[in-house]
Amino acid sequence: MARRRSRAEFERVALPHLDAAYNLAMWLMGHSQDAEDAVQDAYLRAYNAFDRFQGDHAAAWVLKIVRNTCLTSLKRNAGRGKVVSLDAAMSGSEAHRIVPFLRDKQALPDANLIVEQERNLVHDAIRRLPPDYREIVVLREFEDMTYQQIADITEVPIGTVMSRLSRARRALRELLSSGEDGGQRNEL
Amino acid sequence: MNCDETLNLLDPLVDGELPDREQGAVRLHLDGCATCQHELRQIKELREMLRQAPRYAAPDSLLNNVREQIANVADRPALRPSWNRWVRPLGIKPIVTHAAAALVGAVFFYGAIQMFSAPATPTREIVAAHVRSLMDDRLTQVSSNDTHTVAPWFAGRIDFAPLVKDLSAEGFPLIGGRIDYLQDRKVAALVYQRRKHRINLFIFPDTGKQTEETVDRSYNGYNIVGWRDKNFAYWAISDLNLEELTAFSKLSVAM
Repeated sequence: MARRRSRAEFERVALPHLDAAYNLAMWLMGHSQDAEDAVQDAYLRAYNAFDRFQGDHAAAWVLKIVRNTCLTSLKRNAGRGKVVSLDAAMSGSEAHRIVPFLRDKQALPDANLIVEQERNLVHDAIRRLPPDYREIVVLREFEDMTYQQIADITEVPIGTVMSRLSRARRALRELLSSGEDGGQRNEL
Repeated sequence: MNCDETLNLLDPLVDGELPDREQGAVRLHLDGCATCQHELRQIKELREMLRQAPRYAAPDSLLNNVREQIANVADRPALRPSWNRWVRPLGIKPIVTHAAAALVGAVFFYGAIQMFSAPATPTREIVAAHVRSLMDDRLTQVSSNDTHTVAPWFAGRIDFAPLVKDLSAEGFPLIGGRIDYLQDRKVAALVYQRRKHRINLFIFPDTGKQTEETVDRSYNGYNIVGWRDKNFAYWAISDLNLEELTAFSKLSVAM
């Protein structure tokens, strides 16, 4: 039988994606404690399944497990009658956990108030998307996943990824442009 | 290519997901269409806004918790030798797996009989006490690695004086102690550590006629080793592997 792959190897492969895992979990669970629990669960599952990991794209592999863990947890909570709010719980109290996301490591975004204000508007807008649109936006814009990877992670056809992404962006544009008039609900 | 077709391809274009041959057609249309150009600018603007938005970063505590959890699991023998991995490729028929399941069931049944016929020992109570102690930060009431701090702490709190040994040189540093409740009485609980694993050592007076042999067993992934001397019963429990827990029990017995 194949030798079990080492813990060190797992840590090297999976731990670099902990921020990505936590970011996705935050957007799905809406609460930092729930997100942490889900990520911890997901990493345990990932470790147990590590022998089956083919080594092609570790981030997508980790994120798929995180997503499944989050959905399982949300369903379980819903079954218990516990109120699951994806939106309400993400309040300002999480602000201290937010660090600038740098796609381009050289280009530090200005940390002034105006930028902060824009950031919150963007977050608010993403939060108002339905979860199945929101996760695609997060995977594409924050985690830089390809359409194919997003299709694998969310288990929908690639055509659905494209149409949801396109609709979500149209909705976000509308939400962000009408932000100052109190924001109109956008029908997806 | 008309506007409708182009508009559908603008997102893939911006995302770098459009094959080269289609890119040419889209750019050709864009060159002569102000409406589609405007749409493209809007999509790019939105993308810039999204990319400036902050991302949630995992707190340090999460990294530590994840690593600790993996370390705990890794130290245990593999619980699930990937079954599907060798059953499926071999094309083993369901009948074979059923037979295997029956065999597993038989082994389980045998184990159950063994368990019930073994001398009555408070396995579940010990596990429950151990798990309780790991929850809610109530592991120790007196926290010290100094035996001369921990041992006197029990005086006046329980009606016996447990021997508190310093096993740090052997790789089992003392963490502290507390009073717990087992078998309808107050017992002393000493807490030791091996790497990341916590060991609870329960001690209580026992002059009964139970076996003097060391017994070991496992339950829900915890290993338990029990023994007694002429005055006391001892139960050590941990998620540590059995070999090291047995070594711990031997050190505790010695002297």
